[in-house]
Amino acid sequence: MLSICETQCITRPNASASTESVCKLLLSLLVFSGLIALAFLHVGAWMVLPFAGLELVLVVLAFVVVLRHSGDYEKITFVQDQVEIEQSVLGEIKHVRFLCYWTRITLREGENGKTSLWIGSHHQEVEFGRGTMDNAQREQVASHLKRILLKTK
Amino acid sequence: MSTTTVAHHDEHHDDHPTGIMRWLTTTNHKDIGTMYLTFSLVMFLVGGSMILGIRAELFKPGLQLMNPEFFNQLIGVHALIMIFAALMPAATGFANWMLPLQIGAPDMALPRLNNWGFWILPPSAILLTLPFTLALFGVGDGALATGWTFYPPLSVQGGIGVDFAIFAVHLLGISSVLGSINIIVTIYNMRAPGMTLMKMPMFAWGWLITAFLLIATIPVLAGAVTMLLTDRHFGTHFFDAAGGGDPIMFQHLFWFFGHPEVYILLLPVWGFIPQILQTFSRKPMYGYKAQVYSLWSIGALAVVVWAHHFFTAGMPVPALLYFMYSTMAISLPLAVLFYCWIRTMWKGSMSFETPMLFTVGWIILFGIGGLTGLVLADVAADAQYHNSYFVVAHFHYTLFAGGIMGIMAGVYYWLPKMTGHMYNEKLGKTHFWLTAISFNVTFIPQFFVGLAGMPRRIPDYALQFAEFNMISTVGAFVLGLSQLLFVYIIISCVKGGKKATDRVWEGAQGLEWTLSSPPPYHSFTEQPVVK
Ligand code: HEM
Ligand SMILES: [Cu+2]
Repeated sequence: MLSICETQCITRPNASASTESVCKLLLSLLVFSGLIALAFLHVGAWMVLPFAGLELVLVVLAFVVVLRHSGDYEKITFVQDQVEIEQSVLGEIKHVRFLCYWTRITLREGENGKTSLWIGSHHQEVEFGRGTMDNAQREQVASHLKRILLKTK
Repeated sequence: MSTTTVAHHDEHHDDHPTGIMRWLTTTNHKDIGTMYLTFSLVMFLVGGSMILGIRAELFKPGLQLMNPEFFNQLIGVHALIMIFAALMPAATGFANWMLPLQIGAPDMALPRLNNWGFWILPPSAILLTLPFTLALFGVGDGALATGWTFYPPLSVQGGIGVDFAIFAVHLLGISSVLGSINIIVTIYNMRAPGMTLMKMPMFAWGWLITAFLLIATIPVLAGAVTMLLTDRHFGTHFFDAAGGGDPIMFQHLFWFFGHPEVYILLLPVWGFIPQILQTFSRKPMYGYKAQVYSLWSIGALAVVVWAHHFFTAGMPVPALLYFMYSTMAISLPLAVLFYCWIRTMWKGSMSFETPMLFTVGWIILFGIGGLTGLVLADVAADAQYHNSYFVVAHFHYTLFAGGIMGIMAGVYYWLPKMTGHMYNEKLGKTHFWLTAISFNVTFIPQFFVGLAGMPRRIPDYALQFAEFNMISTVGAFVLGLSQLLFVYIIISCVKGGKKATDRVWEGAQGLEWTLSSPPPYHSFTEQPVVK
């Protein structure tokens, strides 16, 4: 998800699932698979149960991994002659500031055709929107930032 | 204030993998989708060549080409390959390619898991076919000879081919489960803002329900084949009547998975077929909600009808009646779907490019598959049809026409989007007509020999079935050869061709068509100039 305005760019992971809807989903899977496994246990085919259990653990883990990151965001803000990059991962917030004059925006072809967007100055570079944007959005953000930076010079 | 992901300029230029490593390690949903689709096409040809061996043997009565053991092995491996290595991976390939684009996500939710899910497939395909090669060197007696259904006691007594197949099925199951988890999480969590579930593209609905079914039923299959394995090697007697076990229980377990499996194969197709219909009818799809609810009811009914596959094994009459009526009940939501599909075309300004030809052909041929299924659901009639060639013809109308030909419609529909080139329309249409006609020439005769009493899985047959079998074999070879044209069309479309526009089809609707063709990918082969 990406929102852009004149002084700010924010990107965050699409997080369309509410905790509640995920809980409902997991519960229904648990009941559904659980009932099936128990029914087969009842007729002596107990080996279905461990597989069903293992699989449900995997499903839960997958959702945990993804939902933990739903509060993450990355933000670029222009404050006077500086550009500030703020990145929040799992609640931990990091900031970097560069002087607009020296800031360079670089789009690189990364692995497997994915591009990566880097914001840097001198020997420091920060990657922006790695997992939350697609190539087109990275391109869009890059040209937007370049335009604003040009104005500050 | 601390520093974040900081890197020095020259570190990350040349470190991304190339060649084979690129494909082994890729986490890009389009790469993975392409790998799934390619794998599927290759395995379709492998499974197809196997069955042409069968059809060649059946060209004339009597044994000509192979011994009955090998004949049975080819049939079982053909089915396992077609189902698990051709049809399912094709649907997963489309899911990888199109779901993120259709729901407005940058990638699948769990990209690394996605990579593992794919790379489990090739080893399992090798496991399935390895026993053939081993037998050539005098090791073991070939692949499993039980048909794809693994019924004991044959599968308990069988050779190492059964063990190989059991491990292959485990791996295939793991792959499907990983794929399903990824798809469920993606659909739940990666939708663009504003896209509620009831605004999702139909393809996402088809896949969501498919993933549900996979998660519910794969453990049953895994449990069943594991019990088979312990029966074979570790002295258990789950399915051994002499040891107090019950071979019929295996049939319950297998078909508890096996019947939902046919919907697993078809639901993704039911998802994108209406999208193709609306594109080429230049109208919005008819009855979106009705279709979603129908898909759900079919998903629910799928897990309560399994015993219609073994009516003749012996069951109490109330059970027979229950399984008969519940099976017939599936035709109600299916009728709703057919109505919606036809209504979507009704009074539309239709045009018949290759994807649409395949789709309309699909509706008719899959319809025949559905109606003959209804006939088989009748307990009294099934006593006659069971285990006959009528069944073989029926499930090829659902799996080949309903499955593979649906996938082919999808391939022609999305190929320009994926490659950026138009395929050769004239060749595409030729491929359709060759496929549709030879498919019918292959399988219509099988309805007749089935009705006349020819059993399935049999290398030799009575003289009265000779003519129809001959026709069927000729049809099968034309059908098989026509698919080489398909391969040619795809390869030449990947290599070049007229440039595809972003929208590709005049009436195309949906997010994937708003992106360029192919979607932004290697857009930056040159280092963009800084500032
Ligand atoms: C070139 C197209 C195909 C031809 C000519 C063909 C032909 C056959 C034949 C002759 C049999 C053996 C029937 C018997 O004696 O019992 C068979 C079995 C089977 N086929 Fe196909 N088939 C084709 C494609 C497919 C596809 C695409 C699928 C599924 C996706 C499929 C699924 C099966 C299954 C499940 C069996 C039953 C195997 C068993 O009895 O265990 N086939 N096919
Ligand atoms: Cu069934």
